[in-house]
Amino acid sequence: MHIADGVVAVPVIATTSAIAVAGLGLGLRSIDDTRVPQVAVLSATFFVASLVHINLGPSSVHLILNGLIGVLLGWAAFPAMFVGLLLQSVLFGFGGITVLGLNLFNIAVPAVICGVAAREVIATSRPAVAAAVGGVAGAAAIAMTAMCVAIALALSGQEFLPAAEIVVLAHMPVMAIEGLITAAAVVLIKRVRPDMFPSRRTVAPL
Amino acid sequence: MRAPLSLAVRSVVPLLAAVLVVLASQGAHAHRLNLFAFVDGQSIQGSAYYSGGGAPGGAEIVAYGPDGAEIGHATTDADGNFSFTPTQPVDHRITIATADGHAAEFVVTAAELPAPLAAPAAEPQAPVAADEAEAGEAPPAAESEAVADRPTDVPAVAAAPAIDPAELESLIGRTVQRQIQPLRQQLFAYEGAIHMHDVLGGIGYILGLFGIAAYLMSLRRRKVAG
Repeated sequence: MHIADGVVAVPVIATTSAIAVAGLGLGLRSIDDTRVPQVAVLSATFFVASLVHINLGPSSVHLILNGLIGVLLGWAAFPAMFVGLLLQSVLFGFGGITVLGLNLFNIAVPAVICGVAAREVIATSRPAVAAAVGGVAGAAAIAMTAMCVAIALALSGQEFLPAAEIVVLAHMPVMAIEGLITAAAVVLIKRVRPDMFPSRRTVAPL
Repeated sequence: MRAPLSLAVRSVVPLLAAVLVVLASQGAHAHRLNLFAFVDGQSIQGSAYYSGGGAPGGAEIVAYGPDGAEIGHATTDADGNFSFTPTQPVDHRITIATADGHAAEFVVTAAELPAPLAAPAAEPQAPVAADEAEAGEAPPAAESEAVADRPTDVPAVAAAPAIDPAELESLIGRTVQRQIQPLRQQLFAYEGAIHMHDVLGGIGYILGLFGIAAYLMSLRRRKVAG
């Protein structure tokens, strides 16, 4: 899911990086000092999740957990993932420095969309419904990220359909697994710490 | 400050711990595309593989010369292996790009190429040989005297020119290259692997970074409160 240096055209990198920087700014503003530990731990989780491989079929894919992080952090997913991506590229060689903004866009934008869409429902509904919504958010975030990758490649001269087919098909198992993880995490957190899902009715929106 | 910390610890740390346990149990894997190539006989052979296992089948391999011109071309098989025959005696920058956005490259230098192609790279050797010949010019006189003294050595001296020095050098070069090939491959694999100290170091960076952020925020709040 991490696009490597030198694959994508410069205008695509510039546009997505600009949006990623805007998202970073919004994300940083949404973190008050009481949320820093939560963002830190989720950033570390994102950082190591990419090392969990799912070997099914010919290609090798890994967890991303962007749906879960989006549901828990909202806009703060941007800074959490930025730090994770930066360290992944420096320490592991995933992606690259010049495509950091592009990869952040591809992974964090779906996270925030799914998170913002799902949070209110998760916060206000019964555990079963919340789990289902969380699961859908977890799977949908992966699907959207796969589509973003395919579109970025298509805009850089690769044919869209083969790229989309490869990326989306390869991530089917990831979608299933992350849907389950996100659903399980939502149920657990709702029971243990319901205030981690701030409803607009109880807490001011971000 | 206390409640959110316990909140994070109670709900997210178990997840992080679970991920680490999975990692420890299966060994850390990277998700990076690696490309390795070497000269074997008259062809350049190579393989592409993901560090986490699996190989990109049907991916396009293109070799570029120093001037950026395409000088070689191949397609990987299902196991990520490929081979092609180099036609130009220059450094080959071999690149791979898969349809899903992974890319890698590897350079095979001109000196590694098969003997007929490596000739220009071997040229610097020629002057050395010439020097030796010049240096050797003086001794022959003395040597011939020695030979005259001991005629029994003549067959040995006569046998020496039978091995062409250039040929011998290329033979040794090829043998050494074949011997160190597995070593190079192993070294390359080690470089591409993810090491636990990198993982732990990364987590340390993250916690430290956010720790600094929390400290700065607390300073600001104290200032506002004061």
